[in-house]
Amino acid sequence: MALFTSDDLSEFFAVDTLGTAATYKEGGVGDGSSIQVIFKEDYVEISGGSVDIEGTHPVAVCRAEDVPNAAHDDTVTIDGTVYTVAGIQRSPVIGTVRLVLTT
Amino acid sequence: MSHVRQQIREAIATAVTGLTTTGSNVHQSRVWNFEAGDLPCLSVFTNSETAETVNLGETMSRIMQVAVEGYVRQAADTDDTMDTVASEVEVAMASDQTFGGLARASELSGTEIAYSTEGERVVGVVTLTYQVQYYTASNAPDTAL
Repeated sequence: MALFTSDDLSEFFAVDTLGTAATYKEGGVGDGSSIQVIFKEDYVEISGGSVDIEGTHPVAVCRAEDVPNAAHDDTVTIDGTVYTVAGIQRSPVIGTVRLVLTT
Repeated sequence: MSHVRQQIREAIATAVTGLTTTGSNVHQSRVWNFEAGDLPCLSVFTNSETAETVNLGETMSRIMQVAVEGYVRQAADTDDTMDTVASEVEVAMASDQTFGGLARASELSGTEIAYSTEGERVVGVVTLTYQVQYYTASNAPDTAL
């Protein structure tokens, strides 16, 4: 059983608190659904050969009930940028899904 | 004058400049991070060398390891692009294996390919290692024999 109710999570994910509006498309097709995500795009130094490469590591946290069929190659559009889901970390206890994104 | 090692490194950088995929994005002994927009690119390193004396100590026979690293960042088909980069480098390096007479010979001794998915796009690095043999006088490392 999740620690938080759907209403609890809705407060966290609201766009006037931590959330950002996003469009989620299963398989990257169709009109998709409007959801709220907590989006982070931290700076990372990507391991290269002798030299590292500067980049970002985009991650979107969603309510699990908003993306019940989350799968690789789904897309999330945030502020006009289309990200592809490359990793899925479900957290049933909290009731969220953490999506690792690529562009 | 500069050490023959430096002259060869610079000659190699010149040889691999202007290739179709990496263009003028060629660096020598790069140590600072690349920005995403810097890729695709090449960086030439001369990290190690073995040497021995010949002719009663008057001549140094040297074999230098040269690494030409190709960096690629893209959403898909990173492997194909790295192989293309490798192909272009190999052709350029084979066009003059003495680098204008600085070396006696050079040959590809190995290729390594690595991927990283830590960021928003796959980064691939292909490393071509060459062995370059050259000679200098023991007391004149700036002049190739």
